Formats: sequence, structure tokens, C-alpha cells
Amino acid sequence: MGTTERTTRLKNRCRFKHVAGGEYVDAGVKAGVERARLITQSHKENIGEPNCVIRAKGLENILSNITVHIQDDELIVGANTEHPDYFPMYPELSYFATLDMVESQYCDHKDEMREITEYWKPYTIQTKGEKYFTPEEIGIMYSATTIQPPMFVTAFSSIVPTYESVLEDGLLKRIEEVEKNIANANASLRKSPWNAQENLHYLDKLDQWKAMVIAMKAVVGWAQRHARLAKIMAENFLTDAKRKEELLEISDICRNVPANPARGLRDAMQSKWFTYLLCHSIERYSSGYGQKEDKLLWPYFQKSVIEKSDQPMSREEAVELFECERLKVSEHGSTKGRQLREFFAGSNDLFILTLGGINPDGSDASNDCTNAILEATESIITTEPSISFRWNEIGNTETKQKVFNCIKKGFGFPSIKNDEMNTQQLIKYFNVPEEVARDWALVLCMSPGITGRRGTQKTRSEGGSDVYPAKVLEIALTDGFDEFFSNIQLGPKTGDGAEFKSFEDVWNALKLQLRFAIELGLRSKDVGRIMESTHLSCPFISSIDDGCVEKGMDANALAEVPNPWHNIIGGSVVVIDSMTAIKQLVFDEKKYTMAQLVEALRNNWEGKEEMRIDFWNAPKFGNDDAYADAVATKYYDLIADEWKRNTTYSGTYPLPLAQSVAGYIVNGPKTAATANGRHAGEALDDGGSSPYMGCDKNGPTAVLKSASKINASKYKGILLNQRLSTVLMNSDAGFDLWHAYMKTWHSLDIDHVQFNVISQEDMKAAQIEPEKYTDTLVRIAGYSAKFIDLARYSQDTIIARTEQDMASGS
Amino acid sequence: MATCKECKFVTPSPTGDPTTGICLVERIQLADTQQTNTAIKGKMVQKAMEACPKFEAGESWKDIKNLL
Repeated sequence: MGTTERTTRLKNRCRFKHVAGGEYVDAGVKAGVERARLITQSHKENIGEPNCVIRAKGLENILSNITVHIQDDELIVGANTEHPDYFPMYPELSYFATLDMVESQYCDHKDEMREITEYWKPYTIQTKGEKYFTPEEIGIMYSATTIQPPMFVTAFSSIVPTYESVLEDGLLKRIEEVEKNIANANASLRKSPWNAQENLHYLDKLDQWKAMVIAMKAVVGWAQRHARLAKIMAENFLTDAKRKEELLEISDICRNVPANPARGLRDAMQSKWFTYLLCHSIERYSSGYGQKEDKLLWPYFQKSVIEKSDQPMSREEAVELFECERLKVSEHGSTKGRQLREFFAGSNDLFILTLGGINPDGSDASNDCTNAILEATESIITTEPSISFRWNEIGNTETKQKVFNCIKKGFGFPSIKNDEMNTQQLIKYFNVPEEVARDWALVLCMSPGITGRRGTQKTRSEGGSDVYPAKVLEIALTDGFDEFFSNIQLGPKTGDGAEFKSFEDVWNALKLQLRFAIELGLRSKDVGRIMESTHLSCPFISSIDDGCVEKGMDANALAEVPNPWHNIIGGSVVVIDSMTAIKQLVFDEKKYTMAQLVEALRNNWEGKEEMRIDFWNAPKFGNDDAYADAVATKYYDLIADEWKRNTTYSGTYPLPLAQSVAGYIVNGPKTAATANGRHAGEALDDGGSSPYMGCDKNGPTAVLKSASKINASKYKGILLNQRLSTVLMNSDAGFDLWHAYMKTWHSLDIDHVQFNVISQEDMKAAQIEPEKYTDTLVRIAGYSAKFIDLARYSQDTIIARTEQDMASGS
Repeated sequence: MATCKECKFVTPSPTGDPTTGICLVERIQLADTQQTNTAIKGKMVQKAMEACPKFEAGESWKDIKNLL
């Protein structure tokens, strides 16, 4: 429960919006219509204007007219919909995703929303994007088998907002700056003699700047609406003196920010929350909670909590404010297409904030704000936002102890990222200056991107999208045709696996199928990027980025600091273990033929149990087994090389990122039997270097040694899930054991690790009596979820993970 | 004749395409030697297809516990 009565009350009535199997768990969750209604009304009135101006006026209409509300006990105000039970809809994004919601049980305004959905159909980025692909390519992408459907149909995106510019400048100063740019451009256009080369580029820039001003003014007005509401409530409807005082303070805060620079921690938190709402869910939908929160808020924490010079508050009040933030995020409703809702089973969305690491000057970045955030996390117990901790050798032990405290309680987070490795990667691959690189935060679950006033990632078409390797291997054995799930040709014809004569034949087919999937996925992302910058301008997001303001460019179009990455989701270890088994049993020992194997897989091992057990018992990744680990190294080299062949929108090649979210669950039923002895329809592996469920039998150090054989510096991330003993973690020696484990992990240059600390008995008991385990959290992969919110199939995959004994010393 | 669209075992397609869906009716109980208990053999279907003998009426899966 919370550290105060307020946060306990807020938690008890929090409208969590967790999903399972794509459906909202809480029956009270509904689709809000106001955003969709208001943006449609504005679109009809402004057709013919430049896209950025249409979009700015759409935002203006939303912010001027959407219902604003302030709930009891709230210290942070503002929401993306007209009601706390609702999530918004985005008819301008994906026709299918909107239609799916409109026809669901969540939408009570079906007639109106059907009309809105049909109105938008020709304007959606889905319709705009589809025409650049053949029907066959659309069929492959939309089957979500070998690659993720493109963002123009999933409506999924991610962003790291440039919070710093809002908190430091305030919007009024930025409006002045943009207006100055407009004045200078107009003056240049009227200079004598006329010079087209020097001036015509201003035409588009003038539109962009005009749109930015409209957007920023609308945002200031929206914050003022909250200020007025708080004041009206305080002066007319409340008798409780304390709450009245709080509301008057909220009114003062909303009058000040984001129009002006933040004065103290309360201003900074409110300004950050408004900015979050705008960038992630009002101007458009984008997943994530990308921010280096302890760095971002540290100046204001110092002023309010330590120096008490502006908006003075006690440390306990700061912890309460961070608890309130976690509950605001938990209540926030996101709207994405069904595939992504299925991919975040048990959760609401991917909200991941980043803590720790080092400062631009190289000193330890963990501070008392870091500690307060972790204390709030430990007390309030919510799945969102998840936390990633940047583990640096110089990080202080006090903060690491607080990280441990959250982990040992079973939250599944903070997840740990190797700070030095990820900083160096930004410098080496993306030419980021070292002091900027040192301020990275995760964009989503696993991928670092820069933070700050400019150049942050603005859209998932820069980094994101998925390839599903287990399915790719399946069709590499069936001439590119999916016999199991979709019954369509998913890839090029690379031959019948039954006729492959050597391990290299199998490898080559895998490579060619991967190549096709990667290239189709990348092309769909870059086409989507053009659709976004042409038809989905984001003038507010642009207005708070110094680069966009300076260049007069839309945030979707500008790739000032390239950060391309591409997920390889759930199945990498299934591929590694399968290829290992094929190498050993078919080509080295010649115990079986490829024809026998392909036939057995086609028939889901039916009548071939002895053979399946042979394949199941072949060497497995995660046991420090040289034979299996050599295949892992070869596979990951292939992955890196195949992505490196391509050049994306931002001018360089993407780094692969191996992880799984709940893709390992969702894609299990789409994937036929595999040569690692897995049955058709069983779940896949839960991360990039997580051993297959139950296959890591040689202890935690063996897992780390196997993981360390993959050169992690060539990938944006490689996810490692580990399940640790609750007894040991909660023992007196728990921290020391874990700390020693972490030092080993760090010394082996591994990218990532995250932990489940929950016993088999507790999980099984929670399946029987879920009402007794309402606060039991588990790590899925990249995010955490309430165990009882998961479907049985998903729960079983967590139970099946090996519980490692850190004290075993092996 | 009933169609896949009306069957409670058919969930919507991953993209929300109203014409297709995913059939999750076929479940296999796994042997004790396996780490997990259940395998689900998914199948992409056209919602206009004639329903199979396992048809049970309903809009879609309502019991979240039986989803993924």
C-alpha cells in the first residue's frame, strides 16, 4: 500500500487498464469518443490546409473542448480522455484498429464511431501506406507470423519526448522563439533581389512553424482549463480545508506550467505529465515512458526537497508524489491495435522509465531523487511504470540496495542494463557525443536512445518492429510456405527441408528467409515513416524539440540523431536449440535424416516420441555447453550481418534487439513443432538469451557464461530472464549473493538481465485462489504484470522457468 | 449454416481486419515431461468460412483465462 492514506485511497480506486489476450481485464473500461469526435470535426473544417496545420488545429480543437476532470486526492492532474475509465481512439491512424475497437464491447457510441471510422478511411495512414505493397506482401505482413504488421495498421509507435525543453524554457518562451523564426523567414522572403534558392525552402517551414505556434498556444490554454477547474472546485464545491488548499496549489501550478519554466518539483512533475499526455496519447498515440527521470527531476528535487527554496516539500511528500505518478500511469489508458495488446499480456502498455547510470561528467548519476523514486516503487506496488536501472561499476551501493529491494519483492523490475556497454554503443554506432550518450534512457523495454532537448527518437518507424525467428526457421524447412497456421507463402522458395543435404543447406535457407522478412519489415517501416511525416504531422512534439524548431521540420521527418533498431522477438533460442539439434543428430551423428525430421515436425512428432525426446535432449543453450553456444554465436552473427546489409530512413543500418515481450506466448500457437523437441503450439523462449523454459540445468553462472558468448555490443539489446529463489533473495545474505551475481554479470559484458522472484508454490496457489494474490507481480519479458491478470497459458510459461539457486556456486 | 464469425473460439485477427480471425479451439494437454501443460494449435481463418464441428456460438472468447 502507499506510504500515505492518500495514495492508499488512490490505489484502491485506481482504474487499472490491464489486458489479457487483447481484452481489457476490468469490465468497466470503455472507449472514449471525445478525441475522435473533436479531431474529426476539425478535419472536416480544415481540409485543404497543409497537413501540419490541419493537425495543429485538430489538436487545438481537442484541447479546447475535451472534458477535463480532477479526481479526489489527485496531486497530478490531466488525462487523455473525458473519463478515468476510458481510453481514447485515433481514427486517423489505422482503419482496422479503430474498427476493431468500435465493434468491440468497449464502444458505447457505435453509430457515431462507425461514421467517424468510415470518414477517416481514405485519410488513414493505413490506407495511404497499403498502396505501396502487393496484396501478397500485405497478406504476409498482416498474418503477423514472420514479421510484425506495419505500424500503419497496428497504430503502434514509441517516442522519447524532449521534456527538458518544456521544463527549462516553458512554452511561452518557445512560442516567442518560433514567432521570431517566422518573422525572420518573412523578412528574408521579401529581401531584394529575389533569390529562390535561398528562400523557397521557407514555404514549408513557415507552415511548420505556424502549426507549432497553434499547438503550443492550445496546450497553454488546456493547462489553464485545469487551473480554472481546480480553482472552481476549491472555491465552490469543497469544504475540506486541506483539499481546498491543495486544489488552489494545483490551480497555481497549472497556471504556471507548461507555459513557464518549472519552479520546483510539483511544477516539474505536472509539466512532465502534461507533456507526456500530449506526446504519448493526445497528439498521437505512442507507447513508452522514455525518460531519465532522476536526471530530469533532480534540479527540482534539489530546490524543493533539499534546499527548500522553491515549492518546498518534505522528502516524504516527494515519495508520495512519485507514488501518485505511478498511479496516474497505471490508470492511463492506451489504445493500440490488437496484436500489441496481445503482446503486452497482463499489462496496460509499455511504460518504462530509466534510472541510474552516470552523469555527462562521468560521475554517478544515482542521487536521492533516484532513491525516492525507488522507495515509492517499493511501497505502492504497481506494474507500471516499469523501471530500467543502468548498472554502472561506479554506481553507489545504497541505490543498488534499493534496486535489490524492489527485485526481491518480486516486481520483476528494475531490469538491469549494462551502462558502459550501452553508452559506448551510442557513441560507436550512432556518432553521439559522449556527454550526450551518457544521458540515455530506454525508448521502450530494451532499447537505449538519447534524452534531452533535441534529437530524441520520435517514432517507432525509427526504431521498432519485429521479426519472428522461430516461424522463419519453420518455413525455411517448408519451401517458404506456412502449412501450419496461415496457409500462405510467407517467404521465398528456398527448397524442401527434407532434401537438404548439409547443415549449410539448412543454414542458407534460414538466412534467405530471414533476409526476406527483415527487408519487408524495414521497407514497411520506412514507407510508414514517409506516411507519418506527410500525413501525420505532430506540431506539438516538433515544437518542443530544438532541432525541429531550428530547422522548421516535423518531428516525424527529422532524424537528427539516428537510432534505428529492429526487434527479433521470442524464438531466437528455439532457433539456436533447433539448429543445434539438427547439426548434432542429423549431420554429425547421422541418427536421423532431414526427411524424417521434416515429416516428424509436420506431424507434430505424432508417433515419434522417442525421436522427439532425442531432439529435446540434444545440447541446449544456457548450460555453458560449447556445442550449443557455438551455434548461438553463429546465429547472432548472422542476425547482425543481415540487418547490416540495409540502410534505413535515417541513413544507417539498424541494430537488432533480441527480446520477446509476450510475443513468445502469442506466437507459440502460430508456430509448428520445432527441432528442439518443442510441440506445435507450445510457447517459445522468453527472450534473446533466455534459455528455453526448464532447459537451463547447470546453474546461474552457466547461464551467464552462455549469454556472454554472444557479442552483445552488436545488438541494441539481448534480453535475459532469470528466476531466482525467493528464500535466498529474502535471506540475510540475499543482497550480498545478488550483488556478487551482478558483478559476475557485469564482468562478462552481458547487456541485460531481469528477475522473477516468486516461488512455484505461490504461483500455483494464485491460480487456485487469485483473490489472495492481487499484488503478486511477475516479469513477463520487458515488462511486468499482475500474475492473476494473465491467462492460464501465460501463467504456465512463468511457472515453467527454471528457478536458479545463486548459492549453488555453479 | 454457422460461420467462424459466430464461433466463440475465434478471436479477432491481429490487425483487427474484420474478415479474418484466429481460431484457438485446438488445445493439447502435454505430457508431464514437458515444462508447460498446454499447447494451442492456432489457425488463421476467414470469418465467412463455414464453421467446423467444434463450433460453439458466441461473439468471441469472453473468459480471459482461456486466452493467451
